[in-house]
Amino acid sequence: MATTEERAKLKETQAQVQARIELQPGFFHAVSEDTHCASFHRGEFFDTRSASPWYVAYRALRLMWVSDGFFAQACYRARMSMKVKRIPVLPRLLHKISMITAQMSIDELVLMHPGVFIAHGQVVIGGVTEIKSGCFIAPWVSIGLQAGNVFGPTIGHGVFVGSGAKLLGQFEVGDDAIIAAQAMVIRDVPAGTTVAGIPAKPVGNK
Amino acid sequence: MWVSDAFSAHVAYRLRTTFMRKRVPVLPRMLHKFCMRRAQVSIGPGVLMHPGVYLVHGQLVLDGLVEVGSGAVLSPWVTIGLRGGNVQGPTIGNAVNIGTGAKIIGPVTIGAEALIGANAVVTTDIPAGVTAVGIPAKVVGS
Repeated sequence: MATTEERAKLKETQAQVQARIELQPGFFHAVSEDTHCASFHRGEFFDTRSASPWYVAYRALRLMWVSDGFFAQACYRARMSMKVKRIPVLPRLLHKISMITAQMSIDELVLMHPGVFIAHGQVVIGGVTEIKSGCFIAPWVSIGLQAGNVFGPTIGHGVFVGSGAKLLGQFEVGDDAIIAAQAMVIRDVPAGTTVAGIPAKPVGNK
Repeated sequence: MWVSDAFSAHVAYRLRTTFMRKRVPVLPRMLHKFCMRRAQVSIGPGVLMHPGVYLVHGQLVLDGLVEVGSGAVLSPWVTIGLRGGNVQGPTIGNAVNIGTGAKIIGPVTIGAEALIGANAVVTTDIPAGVTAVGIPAKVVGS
């Protein structure tokens, strides 16, 4: 049996988790921003930003059909908006759907701002991590923790994370940085720089 | 097809490209989803895979205007893809062996019978018959 203090601590942790989940963006806002971002990165030359909401909805549905990554991401968005409303069971099922469709495993503590493009799926994101809008995440990327610390990286606007890159630990990646394929990032990355290698070192400016 | 997930995904991919060539709607997309569930094989519509490619376990991402020669061996966790803003992907020669986790990115050409080491990142052309390893990949022998 858990003692009273342990129970109180558990309750406090749960409250912290729920407070973190409350920060999540709304479903429709997030998916429409994701649609703009995905259309831009996929090179579909439509200006969805100036289009009517119905057209954006059509584009979003089309992207869900043609891109497993986008479908899984939409499932993730639905899951998080249900979490905000404290709906039971369904979020876990949606998580399983996004795992089955595109092997996308995103933790509840992750705060993914609206407008992120995940190209094919196959992504693991965990811990107290923040991903700002305009990011591109390639397959086989891990964004997560180093042992003993629940805080993960904060990734700035418009960062390009290359295939197979690992971003582990508590640090910041500046806006418009480029993480090269297979890089292993464990320290801060200044804005606008390109980093590569294990461990990742700056190799140039954009 | 029974003992190898990747092979059944590969067969589904071949069926998909056949349907795509005949402009059959919907079915190719369903077969793609089958590939993803069966062995996490995500191959884009712009990829030209010549007959006789071996996918070892699946877990592949190929996208863009990519060409893979016959006799190539693709290990798990491999990405063959694009650099930002360019739809031209790599051209992989015949009988190239690509190691686990290797990433081949951008409009590069890999010569026949080359060997790409595990976890290599290839961003430049690799001549035929050599071994290339590292980040970025360098030729280490033949």
